[in-house]
Amino acid sequence: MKPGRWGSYRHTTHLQTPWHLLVELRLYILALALAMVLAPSRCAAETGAPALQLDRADFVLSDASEPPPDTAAWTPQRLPDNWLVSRPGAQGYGWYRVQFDLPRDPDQLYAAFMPLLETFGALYVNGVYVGQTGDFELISRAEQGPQPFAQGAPPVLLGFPPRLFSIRRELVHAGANTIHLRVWVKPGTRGAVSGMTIGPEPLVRAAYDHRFFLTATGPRMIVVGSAGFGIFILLLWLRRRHETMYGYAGLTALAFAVFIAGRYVVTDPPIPLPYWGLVVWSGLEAYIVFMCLFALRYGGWRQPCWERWLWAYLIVSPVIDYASFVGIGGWVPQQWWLMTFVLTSVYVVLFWTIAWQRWTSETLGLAIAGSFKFVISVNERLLAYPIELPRYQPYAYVPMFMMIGWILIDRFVRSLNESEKLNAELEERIAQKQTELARSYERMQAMQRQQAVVEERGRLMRDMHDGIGAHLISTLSLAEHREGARPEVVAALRECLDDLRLTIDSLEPTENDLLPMMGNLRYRLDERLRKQGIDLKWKVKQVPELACLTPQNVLHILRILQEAFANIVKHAHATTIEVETGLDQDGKHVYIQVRDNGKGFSGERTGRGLASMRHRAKIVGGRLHIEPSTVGTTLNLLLPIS
Amino acid sequence: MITVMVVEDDPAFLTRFCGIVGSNAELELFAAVGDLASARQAMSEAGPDVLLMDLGLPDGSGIDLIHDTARRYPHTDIMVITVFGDEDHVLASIEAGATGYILKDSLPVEVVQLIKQLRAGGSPISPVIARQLLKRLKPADSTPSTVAQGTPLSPRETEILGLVAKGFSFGEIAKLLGVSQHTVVAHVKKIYQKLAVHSRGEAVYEAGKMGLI
Repeated sequence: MKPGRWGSYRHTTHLQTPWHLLVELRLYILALALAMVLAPSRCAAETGAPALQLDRADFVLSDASEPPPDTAAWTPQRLPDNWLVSRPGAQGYGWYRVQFDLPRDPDQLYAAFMPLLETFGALYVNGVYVGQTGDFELISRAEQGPQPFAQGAPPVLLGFPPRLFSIRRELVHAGANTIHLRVWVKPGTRGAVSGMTIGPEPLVRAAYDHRFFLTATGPRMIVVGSAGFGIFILLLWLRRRHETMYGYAGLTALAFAVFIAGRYVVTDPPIPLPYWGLVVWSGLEAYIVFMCLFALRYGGWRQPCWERWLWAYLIVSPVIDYASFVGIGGWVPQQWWLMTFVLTSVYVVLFWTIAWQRWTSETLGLAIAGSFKFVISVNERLLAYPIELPRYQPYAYVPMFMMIGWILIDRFVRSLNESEKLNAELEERIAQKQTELARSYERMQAMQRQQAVVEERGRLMRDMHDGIGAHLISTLSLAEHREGARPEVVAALRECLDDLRLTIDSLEPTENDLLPMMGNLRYRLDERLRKQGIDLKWKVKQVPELACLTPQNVLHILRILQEAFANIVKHAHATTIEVETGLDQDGKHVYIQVRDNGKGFSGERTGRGLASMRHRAKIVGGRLHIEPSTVGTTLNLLLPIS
Repeated sequence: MITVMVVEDDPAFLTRFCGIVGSNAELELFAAVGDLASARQAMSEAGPDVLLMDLGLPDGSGIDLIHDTARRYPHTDIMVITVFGDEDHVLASIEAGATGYILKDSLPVEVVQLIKQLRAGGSPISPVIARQLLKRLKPADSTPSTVAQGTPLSPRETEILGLVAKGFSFGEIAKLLGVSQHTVVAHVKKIYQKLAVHSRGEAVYEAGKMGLI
């Protein structure tokens, strides 16, 4: 495997260079951005007073199975150490020697913490073995076997693992102490050895735990979460195929899970390294390609040409990557990995363009989340990055993860709300239609009733016209022409006719208008009153419509008024009658007032007629007041408006 | 001299109306007949000044005769003789071209007075009829349902008809509006004509609809 692949560990870093200060500054900014995930990773170890930070060591390349004596060819070596950089081409066994002073004998369990030991390692304290990572037996067995590293080959030990070695307290003492670390570096891998923190076990373990969480537990959670999220979105997409955007979002999450699992979680690849590298790299490339496709779809751009190029990249990349792993093809495959940055830039630009076009919290969030990933990638892979520092790459997708989740929730909730609103509106409209229907049904019924009245009236009219009417008219004619006919008979016949006309008038459609009905009464009576020498003063005013004016009620009202007029004509000897209408003071009634200037009448004389008038008034729902006085009588009929 | 023709199938009333006409010096009997055919024959050459006619005739509806007469002799004033002066009969007659109606049992004085009034300009309208006229002749565009299109009522005519519908007499209306009674009567006659003009085409249909024979 070529070193360029894994980014920054090509460079050794020295804490004092300005370059490293710049890295520190970047880290500081990044740390702020990652506040949620990042508890202060190195603090615990640094601030613990008794813990010692050891980064100066001596190194000797030696097969010795016990710590080499001080007389061996030790050369100073600053930690962290990366074999690919400090001794390219070297492999196999090597020894580190670290020395430190203690002011007094420790009184508790001690421990050594290495943020990174990405190889086989065995630790000796003051010459006594305390522990190891990886099985050295496997190495010797493989070396002695006919096919070294084929069957039962020692694992590669990848994934930035932190190590903790416990040290019994009697092994260290006041004064100078020496730690020996034996390592074995597999051919083609880097031997990454970080500095060491020595101190009381609880203190050192805290730093170890923190680091372990950050570089082992966290990435595992991310892998599980990302994979779950991806599957969830893909299932969603399967139900809604036309929303390809979600399909790409799901694939993005899955690809990211593969990449993070391969790079940060799996320490012992199940397949030979070049192929394993292909899987991991394809994961990363797929993640970036799908993110670009997602961005395109999210922005509503249909660019089949662009999409074809992206798919082509996805298909071609593994071939070129393989060429780079096996070291053929020259410059292009070697630098092909830079394409990931090109494409990452593409989707970042896409997201920002969308945000620029549609300035919403959603588009802005996506743009920021995309940029976040980009910045982390650049920081940890493109620029120099100290190998012993924790990698935040696994967390880089989290904001995007949350943004897409939020978009999904937002859309889901919004569509739910909309459908609820739609339902409510629909119900409201149905209710409206129902009331409209009910109303039109009522109208229809009213029209039917009216129609029935009209028909009935027509029938009655014809009957009266041809029957009673004709008979009455003939009888009247006979009576008038018969010599010596009694005038009372003629008068009675005329009254009969008038009465019949009153009945017919009452059948006329009033449309709840009182005045034409009263006018008609006047029209009928005027001539007769004039003959009696009575002056009729008509002082009617427009009044509100009366709901009570059904044909029956109209007849009642007409009869009341007819009776009132008859009384005046017969008994009062009046010369003037005033008829007035208007709105009553209470605003709920309309009054009809009939006032004469004749002599007032006493109750008993017109008792029966009056009782009948009152009765009719009551049926109509009104009230009748009669105020007799010495100069005339005033009759008030109150009719309810509603 | 006003020539009057009477069309009445009831002999007693025919006699009665003829008597009323004959006994007045200003009126002259043009013809007195008992059915449609005779009436048409009588009017084959010329029309009377006033045509008094019953609607229910043995050989058909008087409405047709009103219609024909109004068209042939525009100067003839047609008055319908009716028992009740009810809306259906009167409106149909007015629509056919009649300009007034008279109650069958009217006293001789009333008959003469009405004939003269009719000749002078217009005959009285009952409030219920007035309201029906208002409804049918409402100014255009308020209700497209009824007849009113082409010649809606003028504001003054509407006002007068409205007052009639409230029961005011022509005299009272003249006083209320500050015009002469004659003007009011003229307006009323115009209103009658408008309705007739409106509904000439529909008269037959209307008559049929109302079941008038």
